[in-house]
Amino acid sequence: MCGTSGSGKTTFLNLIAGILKPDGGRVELDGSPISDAGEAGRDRVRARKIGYIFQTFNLLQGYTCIENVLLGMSFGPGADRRWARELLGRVGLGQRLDHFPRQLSTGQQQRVAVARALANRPKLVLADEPTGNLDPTSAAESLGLIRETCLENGAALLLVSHDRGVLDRFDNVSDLADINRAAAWPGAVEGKS
Amino acid sequence: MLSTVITAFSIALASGLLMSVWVVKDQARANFTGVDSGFDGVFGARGSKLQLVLNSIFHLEESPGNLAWVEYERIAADRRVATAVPIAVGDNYYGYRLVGVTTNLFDVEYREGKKYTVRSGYLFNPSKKQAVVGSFAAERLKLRVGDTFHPYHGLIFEKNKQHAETYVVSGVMEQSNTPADRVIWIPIAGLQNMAGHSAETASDVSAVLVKLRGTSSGMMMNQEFNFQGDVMTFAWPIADTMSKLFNKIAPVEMVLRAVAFLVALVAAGSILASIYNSMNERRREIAILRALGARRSTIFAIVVLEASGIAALGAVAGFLVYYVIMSVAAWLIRQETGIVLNPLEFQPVMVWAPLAMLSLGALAGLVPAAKAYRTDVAENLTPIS
Repeated sequence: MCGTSGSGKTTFLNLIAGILKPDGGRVELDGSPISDAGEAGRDRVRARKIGYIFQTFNLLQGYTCIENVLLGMSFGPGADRRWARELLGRVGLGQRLDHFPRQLSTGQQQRVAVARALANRPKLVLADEPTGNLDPTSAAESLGLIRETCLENGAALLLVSHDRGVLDRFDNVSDLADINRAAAWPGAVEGKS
Repeated sequence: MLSTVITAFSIALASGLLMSVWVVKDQARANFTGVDSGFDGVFGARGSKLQLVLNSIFHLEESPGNLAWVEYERIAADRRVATAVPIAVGDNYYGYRLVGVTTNLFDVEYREGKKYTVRSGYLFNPSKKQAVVGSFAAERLKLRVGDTFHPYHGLIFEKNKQHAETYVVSGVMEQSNTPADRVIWIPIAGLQNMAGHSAETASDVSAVLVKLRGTSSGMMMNQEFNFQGDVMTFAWPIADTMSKLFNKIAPVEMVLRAVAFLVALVAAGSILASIYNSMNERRREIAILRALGARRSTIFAIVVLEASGIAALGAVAGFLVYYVIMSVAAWLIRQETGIVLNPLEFQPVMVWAPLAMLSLGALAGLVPAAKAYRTDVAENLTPIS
């Protein structure tokens, strides 16, 4: 999904993740209307079915790589150290399990965030400008890794970015501006959507 | 980290203080009211019963006055009296009291089945200048059997008041954990006739310790000597006299307890303040946890647990603080009174004080937990610049 800065990309992801409750309309995930659930219900869905990769990674600095991944599991089905190790190995950090985020490069930190997002075997991975803080080479590598790991784990990927270079690598790209228009004038874009 | 350590230390201090105040109070009361050295009562000059008991049983305070030897003989001959032991005080050796006594003191059981015995050497010969030194006094003064010393006049050590008489240590007593451990026992005639003591009062005694032939004897003698007579004071029963002392100092105990409670409250306040202040810095961390699926109630519980954890750490360290305070207090009390407190003896306060600190810590965690509970996730997910 593309969108210019300030167009509401993060808000849109937060609505899907159940962090925010929509004023109107519905958000459905895996056939369930999560927007109708209470806060605790939305928290539960987020913990079990959604993985979230933030632009700033949002790793907890006081925890090691593996602890960050385990923490992602602890609110869902429960911590599984073997799976956490396997995931970190898959993203190339098998030798950095006990490193703290500050001991890693930016690209490595993002890989921890990817592993954490996949920790609970989610149905959907949300990625908010995941390459925004990376150089072009790392960004390309990272994007490839996110797509591959989502595919391997059977998770749908919804990625938002304003970067054309990133968006061009996807077949199915929607513009947030269209969605905003559809929300404002439902009739005007009925045929188009 | 530093604030956590300081907070845990303040909890440890509070917990340790609470336990110490309670244990010192309870053990001191139990020991002081339980020590009667095997006697039922004490006769002495007309005056304060408390002063009489402190002087003759605990070897503290000055003597309220003397009794003539004839009074002692009258008491000893009384059919209601099973044993009468006269004592005379008035001299010291480097601050440790010399108490003149007759050898029948050593026939009395100071505790059931326990008599004062010598660990090394032998009891003094009543007609010689010999001394039996209490275990604590011997340890502090480094006196051993065969050593000689010159007593000093008065109950307080003054270098220029040395007596000319030379005493030989004939024996060192077995530790009894009673005030007798701090005393240097010598023949009563020796103390009465020490050079420099008044010749007129040479046969006087400071007090007469008595063992009675029954409770009714005590009641009769109490009536006879305290209410009808005006020559002697009869302190009976000894435990009652000491209880009155503790009742008098009860307000001091209350102040100490209040101080300990205040320290506990301040410690709880410091938990609240340190965690509450850290909440601002931890808004993003909380938001991340919420974004990962943590419920508000989980975050609330984490903060309360954190506060309880700090309190638990403090409560555990409180035992160390308690042990240090108690060791110093026990040493001081033993030094001053000969009473031995046991810091390791179990008291209920050792359970309820740490539990109270834990509860107080958890309660103090409720306020920052409520703040964490209200943290807005979407607003705080981005880095705080």
